[in-house]
This record gives sequence, structure tokens and C-alpha cells, in this order.
Amino acid sequence: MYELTRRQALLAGGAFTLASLSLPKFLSAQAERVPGGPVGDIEAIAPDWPEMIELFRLLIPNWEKLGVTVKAQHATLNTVFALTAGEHNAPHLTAEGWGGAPDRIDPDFFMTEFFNSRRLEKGGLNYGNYNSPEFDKLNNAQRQEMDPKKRVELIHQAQQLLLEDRPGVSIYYRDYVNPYRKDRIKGVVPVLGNGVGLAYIPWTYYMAEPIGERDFVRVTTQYDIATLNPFATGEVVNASFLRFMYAPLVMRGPDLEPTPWTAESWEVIDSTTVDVTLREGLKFHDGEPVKVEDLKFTFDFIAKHQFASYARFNEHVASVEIVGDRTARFKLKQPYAPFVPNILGYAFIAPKHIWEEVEKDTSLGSPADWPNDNPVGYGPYRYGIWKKEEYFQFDANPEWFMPPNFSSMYWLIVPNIDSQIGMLEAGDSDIMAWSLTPSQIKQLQANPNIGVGSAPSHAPREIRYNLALPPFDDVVFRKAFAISIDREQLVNTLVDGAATLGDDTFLSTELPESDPSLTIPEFDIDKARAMLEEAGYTWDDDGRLHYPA
Amino acid sequence: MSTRGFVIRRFFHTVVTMFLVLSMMWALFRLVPGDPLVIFLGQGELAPAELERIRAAWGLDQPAWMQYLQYIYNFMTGDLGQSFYFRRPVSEVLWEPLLNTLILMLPAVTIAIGLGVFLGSRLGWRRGSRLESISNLAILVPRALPVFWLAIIMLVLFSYELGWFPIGGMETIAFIPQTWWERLPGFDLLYHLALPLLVAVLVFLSDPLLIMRTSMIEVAQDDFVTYARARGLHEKTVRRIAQRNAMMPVITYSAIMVGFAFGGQVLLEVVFSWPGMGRLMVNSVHHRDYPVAQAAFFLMAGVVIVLNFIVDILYLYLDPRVSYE
Repeated sequence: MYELTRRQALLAGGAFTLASLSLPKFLSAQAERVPGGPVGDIEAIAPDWPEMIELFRLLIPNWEKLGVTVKAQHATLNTVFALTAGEHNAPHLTAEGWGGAPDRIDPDFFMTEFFNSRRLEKGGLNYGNYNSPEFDKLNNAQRQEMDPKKRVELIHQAQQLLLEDRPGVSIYYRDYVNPYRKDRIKGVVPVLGNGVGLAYIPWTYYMAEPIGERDFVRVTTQYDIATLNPFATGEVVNASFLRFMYAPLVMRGPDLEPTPWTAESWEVIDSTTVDVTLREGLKFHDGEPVKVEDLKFTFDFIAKHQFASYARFNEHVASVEIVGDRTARFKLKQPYAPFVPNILGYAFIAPKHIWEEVEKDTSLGSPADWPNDNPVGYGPYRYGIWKKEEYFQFDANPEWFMPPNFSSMYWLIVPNIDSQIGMLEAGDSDIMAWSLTPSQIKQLQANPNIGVGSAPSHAPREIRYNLALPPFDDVVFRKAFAISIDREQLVNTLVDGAATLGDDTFLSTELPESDPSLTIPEFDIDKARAMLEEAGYTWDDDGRLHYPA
Repeated sequence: MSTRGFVIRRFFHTVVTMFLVLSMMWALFRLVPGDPLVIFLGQGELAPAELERIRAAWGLDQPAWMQYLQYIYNFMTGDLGQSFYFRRPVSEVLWEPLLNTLILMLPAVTIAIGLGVFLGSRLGWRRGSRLESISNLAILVPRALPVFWLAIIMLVLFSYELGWFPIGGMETIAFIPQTWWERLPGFDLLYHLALPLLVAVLVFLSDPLLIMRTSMIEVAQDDFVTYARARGLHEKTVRRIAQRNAMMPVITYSAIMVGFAFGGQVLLEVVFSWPGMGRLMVNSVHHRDYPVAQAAFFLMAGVVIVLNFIVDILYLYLDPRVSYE
């Protein structure tokens, strides 16, 4: 028996080793530009989702017409992310699909994170190695410009520069399409990047109403949360669930305008001073009143412990001082245009009387390591129960100024999408917090009790070029490559047209800040070849592309 | 070598095996590319100084050999460490999914082994009969089918089409019993358990059954069986005697089956939304949550190794012919 165990262990070990060896390794580091020499194979990496696999299947034949071969590898999202953002070891092309977190609605997010040279370091999202002092200048100027009109001007200039330099292509922005039971809930609220069912900007769970006797709502979702501690939430999805309890000061409305939420109002005093006034009569879920001292405490706490998930707060907020019964004054380190949506929109209040004690617990490396098993918030929902990998339940807080219409929310963790669809059809769930494919929607629409809610998104399906690797160091090549993408065909084939086409500025045309005069790059392979030819590229007898001599 | 000597030697082997498994796991998880920190923090702005602080808190700033020694030391002192992803002690993370997995897997394995021995001995005894050839085929079908496919087909048939069973999970949300049997304690759990249990039994059944059958065929040709027949014993009694002797390989195999049961069945768990160990293990590898992944895999391997050790010793009592003298 001993032998059998050992053999099995060895087999398992062998399988693992093979699996790790088969993970993407790129030759591109050795690829060189030889004048007149052939443009070698182009390597690409993308997540292993069906949509991404199909995307490359459609893209590659058109690029082949330029005389270049693109070889795509697919891996789990985490592996792709580790190689690109983590290691900054991206191949020629990296395709990604982003989620519609609320802070990404402000143009600052994608512009800064993807293209500012400050994000070139490991861990940053500028893994395509775009490094333009001119862009940095414009980008830094727009994020510090507190006058919205002037800011939009600067954003338009930055967009123009991205089109000229073309560090990547934002191909399309896929709509979020969520099915729900029409016989169980009414009044779902579509929000950009959120569909009608996600928890990012969850107006559905605040405003929709139950139909019938059962006044709760059951939502199916694919992934569980990791923590109940609001200081520890690295993942955007996890954080959005905690915001049901730890409500942000400001929330974007269904029309995306920042609206008062835990704050009653805010006033911009000057470019680095903002006064925020809390609502009257707010109460923590344990009955204690919410005081402006708690708000100040939370920001001091974040500054003191430097929680990784709140790096943005520490980058911009210098101090929070109490200036009235319910009013706190935020002093910024420098003007920050997205302050209201991206800082007040994420800022929450931690009860001082609880976290003060947590801080004293020396067995914890950081208060972020405290499990917070019974979270005490103050927002529209209270903590109910969390059965890991099974479901979590939040109950309506009747004391909130706008109490939810549902008595409880159950978020069921159902990893298999077909099971989620089956549960919705069987009436075991009421709404799906997962975006469906066109064929799944067709299947569901046969059921008269099922409705479909959708909203466009601001989060792109995009491909970033690695500008450090030839031939992508050449802007002509980058542009020719971009117009060899048939965006309309892709969107029609992949998502049945349910998407916004992208114009390669990485800002969706759905965003009010995006330059309305921009057009979608026209698909034109002949033009692409002409551009390459003009730049000196040649083709050999086999039709392979060669660098200019 | 004396029996006592054997047990001691065998115990030593067990410890060495465990140590090897522990080391191999450590190395393998570190071969997987991806900085756990970057994956944990996800997409967004990162402060380099804070990254370094967490890296140090997680011990990832140490040289690899130090990390390894620390890991071995912690394991030996029973400290499974802190989960990177859940930010709580690994033992806390493990026990809930482990319990859920055992609720599903222990009955499945027990039924599969019991049924396997029962059917296998009868099939082996009737070797060459029409019944045997049909049954052999019937048993091989669920074994040959991919687990997730079988599970989905059962789900479509029994849950979607017939509506007899729930689609997944371990309990009905906001369950209000309507009838007296629904009020029985544990009803809701059993109701959710039934279908995944059925699929698990179908998947597990073939191995013990086929091992039992083969073993039975071998034993049937032994002299003591012929002797039993010659004594004029009833055929049923003869089979029972043969069966007891044929069970040894199944017992050995059971030790492995039970061990792997601790690891759950990730495909079943995904299809039936069962919150067990399989999903935890896959997720922890995805998240590069080394401490959880190591502990979970080690638990599985450890149970296999320990049960093997126990079975080896049990042999002395189960089969008096075995002697380590």
C-alpha cells in the first residue's frame, strides 16, 4: 500500500508540474526588429472566457491579411492578471475585459491606471508600457481641474493624444443583461455598468418592490465574498456588498449624478477643501448614534493603518476636521476632480466605539485582519448571516432614511451559470447578478414570467499593445493593426449587438465627458496595408510582412 | 522482523511520506506564477509601501528557504497559518467546507463500498452469466461518463424536468414547511442531499464493485472454495466464505477512497452548488491563497496516508494469514 500512495503522490505531483509548465511562457522577449527582416509571430494572452476565445478566433484571420500571425493563449483571469499587472511581463497583446465598478465611471480611472507613466511599476495597470510625458501632463491636469468645463476640455485633448499614439484598442463595451422574475419583483433600475442586478450601484435593491406574499429577494451570483471587514476589502465586488451596510457618503444615482446618501449635502469651499454634512438621526445597527466624530475617526484610522484598499484616500485626503454638529471638513493634499464620486462615493463610517477596541487587540497584525463577524453598519441593510460559499443574508434597516422595499436580501452563491438559470426558471431565485449571453437570453425569454433588464457599460473589452516589443513600438503598425479589427462584426457575433462600440480612447461614448466628435475607427484592411506600405513595410513571396529596410 | 518492529517501521514511513507530501506541496504552489498580493488586491491603485508591509506580514518577503522552514515548523506545531484571501486563520476557513463535504461524501463512500461489495461479490460469483455481462456494462457507463456531464443530466432530468429535487445548495432559502414530513428535522438537508448523493454513489460505485468482482473471481478458484463445496456446504455459504476472503483489496482501496472524500468532488460541488472542500481548494489555488490550499491538500493526503497505515495494521487482524514476523 505504501507504494501505491507514493505512486499517487508522484502522479499528482507530475500532473501539477505539467500544469505549471503549460502556463503561458512568451518568446516575445527575444523578438527583435531587424531592418528588412520578417515581423515574427505576434503573441497574445487573454482570459479563458468563451467570449475572449471567440474574440481571437474572429480577430486573427483579419490580422493574417496584413501578413502577420497572431498566436493567442488563454489562461484564468488571475493568471493573466499576475503576468501582466503583477509581473509586467506582458506579451505583444493583452486582452482584458473589465468590470463596471463605480469608480471607473469617472474618466480618470482608465486614463490614469492604464496610461499614466506612474503606473508603469509592477502592480500598476500600465503593463503596455505607454510612456508619454505629454499625456501625463494632460492627465495630471484633468484630474486636478476642479472646473468641470475646463476638465472636459483636457479630457478631450487626452483622448485625442491616445488616438494619435494608439497604445491599445478599446473594442467594445458589453451591455450588462440580467434576467429577473417579473412575477416576483417590479421596478428594477438599470444603471451604467451595473445592469439591473449587480451590487456596484444597486438601486434595484433599494427601489424595486416585491410582488406577492414573500417580500424578500433572492439573487444568484457566482462568487462569494471573502471578508466582512470594510477595511480589508481589496476586491471591488466584495467591497460593493459591504456598502449595503456601510453606506457611502455619496452614491451615483441611476442617472450617474452623485447624489447624497449618508451625507445630506456637500459643499466645495475651494479646490482643496470640501465640507460634508451627515444626515440627521443616523444610527448604527447596534443603536448607537452615528456622529461626525465617527467619520473623522474612520479617516484617521485609514491614514494611520494605511490600509492597502484605501490607498486612494491616503493619496488625496490630508485631513478631516470637525467643523459643525454634523459637518466635517475634508482637506485635500492636491485638487482632485473625481473627489466626490471616487472618494466620498467610497467613504464609509466605522463605529468608533467598536474599532477603537479592535485596534487594541495586539494579536492582530492589522485591524484589517479582524474578521468582523458581526458587522455593525448603519446603511439600508443590516447584516443577517453568512454561510460561506452558500449564501449571505442582509435584512432591511427600517431606520434608514429610505428603507428598502425588500424585507431581506439573500445572495446565493451558485458557481454554475446553467444552475443559476435553472433556479430562476424554477422560481428558486428572483434575479441573476450575472450578465447573460444572447443565446441564454433567448432561452429565458420563452418564459412569460421572466423579464430582462439591461444597461450599457463603461468598462471596456480592450487589447493593450506592449509598446516595448516590436513591431508595436511603431505607431503606424499600431494604427494599421487597430483598423484591421471589424468591431461591428465582433459585436454582432459575440453579443448579438448588445454593446457600445469603442473608439480606442478607452472612454465609452456613454460617458458625458467623452468627446462627442470622435468616431469609431473604420474597419479597412486595404487602408491598413497602404499605411504599412507607405511606412516602408514590405511583403515577401509568401505574403509575410517585413520591417522597413 | 517482529510485528512491533513492522509497526514502528511502518509508522516511520508514514511520517516520512507526510513530510515529503508537505514539501512537495510547498514547492508546487510556489511554481504557479502570480504574486498572491497582486491577486488579492485586485485591480486598482496600489501603494507600494503598503504592499511591502503586507508582504512582510504574510512572510513573503523572506527568502524561499526561510519561508519553507517556517512553513514546516508551523505545520508541525499545528499552526496552519492565516489565509491571505479570507484574512482569518486557516483552521477557521477549513472546517465549514470540510463538514459540508463530509455530509455528502461519507454517506456516498459508505454506500458505494457497501453496495460495491454486495453487487461485486455476486457478479464475480456468477462469472460468465448473461446477467454479469450486462451488469458489467451498466456499471462501466457512469464510470466512463464525465462527472459534470452525468451530474448535469441528472439535474436536468430530476430537477428541471420532473421537479423532484432542488437545483442546488444545501438548504431552501426562507424555508416554510408545508406538510408534516417537511417539518421533520433534517428534511430540507436530505432533500438537497439526495441528488448529489445519488450521482456521487454512481460515480464511486464502479471501483469497489469491479475490484470486488475481480477479487471474487480469483478467490473462487482457490482450494478452500473447492474444499467448502466438497464439504457439501450450501452455495450461499460457500459464497459468503469466498466473499470474506475477497474483501481485502476493497478494504485497501477504501482507505484511499475515504481519503479523497475529504477533498470533496469539485465538479459535483460546482454543478450542485454544494459549498464543500473541492470548491475551496480550486478557489484557493486561483487566489494563490497558499496557506489554505496547502492545508486542504495536506488534509486530503494526510487522511490517505494515515488510513493506509491503519489498514496495513488491520490486515494482521483481518487476515490471519498475513504476518509480519
